Amino acid sequence: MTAKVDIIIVGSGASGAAAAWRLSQDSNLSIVCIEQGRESNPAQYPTTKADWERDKQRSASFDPNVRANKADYPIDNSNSAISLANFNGFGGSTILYSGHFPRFHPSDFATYKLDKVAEDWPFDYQTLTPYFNQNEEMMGVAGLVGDTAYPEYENLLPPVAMGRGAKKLAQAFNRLGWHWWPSYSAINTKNHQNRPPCINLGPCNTGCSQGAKGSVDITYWPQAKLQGVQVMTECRVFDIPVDKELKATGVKYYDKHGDEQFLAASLVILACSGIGTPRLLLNSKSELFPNGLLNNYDLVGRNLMLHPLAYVEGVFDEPLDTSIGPQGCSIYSQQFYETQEDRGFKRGYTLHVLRGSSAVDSACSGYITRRIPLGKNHHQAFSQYFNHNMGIAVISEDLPDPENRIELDYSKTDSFGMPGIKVHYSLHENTKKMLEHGIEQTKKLFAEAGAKISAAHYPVKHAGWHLMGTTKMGADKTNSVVNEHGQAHEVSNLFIVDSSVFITSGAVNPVATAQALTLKFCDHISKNIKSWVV
Amino acid sequence: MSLSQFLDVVLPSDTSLNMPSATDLHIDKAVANLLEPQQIEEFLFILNNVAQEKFSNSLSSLDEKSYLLCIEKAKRVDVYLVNYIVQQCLTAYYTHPSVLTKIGSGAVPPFPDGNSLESDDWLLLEDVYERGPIYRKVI
Repeated sequence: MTAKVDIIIVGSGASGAAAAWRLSQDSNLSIVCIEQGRESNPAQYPTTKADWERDKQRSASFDPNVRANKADYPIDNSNSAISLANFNGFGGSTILYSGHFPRFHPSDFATYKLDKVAEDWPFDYQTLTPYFNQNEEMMGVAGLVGDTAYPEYENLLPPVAMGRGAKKLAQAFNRLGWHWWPSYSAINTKNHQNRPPCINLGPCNTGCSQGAKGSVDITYWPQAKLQGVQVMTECRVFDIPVDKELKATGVKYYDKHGDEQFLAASLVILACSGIGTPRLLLNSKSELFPNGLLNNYDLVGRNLMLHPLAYVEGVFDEPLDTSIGPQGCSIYSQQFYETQEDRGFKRGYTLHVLRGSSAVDSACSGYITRRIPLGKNHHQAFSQYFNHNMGIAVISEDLPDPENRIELDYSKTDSFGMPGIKVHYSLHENTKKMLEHGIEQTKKLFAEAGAKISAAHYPVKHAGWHLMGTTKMGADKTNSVVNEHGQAHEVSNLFIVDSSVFITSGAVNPVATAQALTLKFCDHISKNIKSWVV
Repeated sequence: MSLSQFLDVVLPSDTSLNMPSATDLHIDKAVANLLEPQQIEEFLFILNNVAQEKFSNSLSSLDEKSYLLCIEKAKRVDVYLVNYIVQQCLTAYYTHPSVLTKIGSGAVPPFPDGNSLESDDWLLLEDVYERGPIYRKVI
């Protein structure tokens, strides 16, 4: 290993991959990405076997405490209304995500200006638009232009087929006069970027063995590697040393043998997720930063936003093959996305239409909820539920609150002895009203479609996928951790380029916006590279 | 009382739907691979005790209704264990290729062909489009 490189990127997930690709377009730069997990082999994903749903409960679980891989770190959710989910490996959580890929909306960047809640972002939707477009080209995003919930889109592949169940809901949306549209999906519907179209295997959330889902290990990374980025997997960064001039000198990490190493760099870029990034900063203590790097104003780890979900399920009388197709991508509605004062809450939510549950999920949830009995009536009840049911997730905007936070948990450590995290998180009254409203509207929709409600509740406990806000962006260093370029206020050669910097959460899956933001930040870094790299 | 007998009761065959029983498919062996032997022993021990207490009879001599009632009562002794065992039985049954084919779950891995979905009629979106933009502009 070279004694010093130009740029170290910590984390190879959605943002780390986009950063590696963008920055390595300058072939003069030496760039190393350090990733704590291993590279996955799609040929060994659970869905290559008939019993893939067993692995979903274990090795492919989205709960790191269940998965307990060497790369995972303990997460104590005991003081949180929602349990956090992630995947620690090459490609990050895009390996297990559903591929639902909407952008933030113009109003999401101006919540204070419009609604007097939270704070505005230092730039607007228009500023991010070229980066959204660039990112969607790289990831391969299916959808349909003309959506009335957004300004115009570019670069969309044909939409993912909605399926017979969603068609019933679409007709119901129309009768109610509500917005709906085909989902924006990072799923190839035709050959794109040397990847094949989706053949509707369905269980995207355990890894797409076919390669149609746009996870960054097969989108950004092949090109970034060709452009010269070196990736070091199974290496865990645990400290970012800072010199007396307040410059990061590189990173300390444990290599795959558990030996401590140091790699020097001119520029350090963090992309470890909304919990991994603050965890690393909090663990990087020094005389200058006794409470953790960039944490002299007690901001690192705070303002955690998670998108609390409500879930409503309907069951149709007739079989509709609802379990067939990409599980998380079909149609969606933003009828209730923008603030309307008479609803009694600020901001709004997305109605995210999901496909029906899988065979094992149907049987197990049916047993737990007593909808499907054991014994001689089991098969009849199962046959009236499986392929008849559909779920709708109400994805609420989560407003920032400093008390919602993560902190280091010294009582539980990872495989290298680094502290795990403890989560402190509760729902705002505004969020509760929003979710209750969402449940009522979704029930109305299912009734209009002719389905019977079989479940309706909030918050969904094991749904903390969207990790945002824990090193917020802003102009004032006493109120934010990084500036409008993702550059740390207090350490000028340290950047954070993931969703940790989000100021607000929107009410859509964050990855499209996170990656667009990464590309914007890296554009700035690239244009000003001589400020850090001689 | 064995795991196999338990499976006979909770997942019997259904000829009207052409569904095999769990024991027809030797699901007990798959379940045994998912569980520790002690877990199965403890589970059956709890069930037998409940049968004795509730019906003063052995589990294997109960009719289906009484047997299923024993499972419900057993949850009061160890709800985590009972639910876990039942869910592992359901998982083993509903990951069997034969079952997946019979219930219509589409292509069964290793997915040679995938699944087809019918073409969509996007003219359905005319109503939405004609109502015009709904996003808020920031001026």
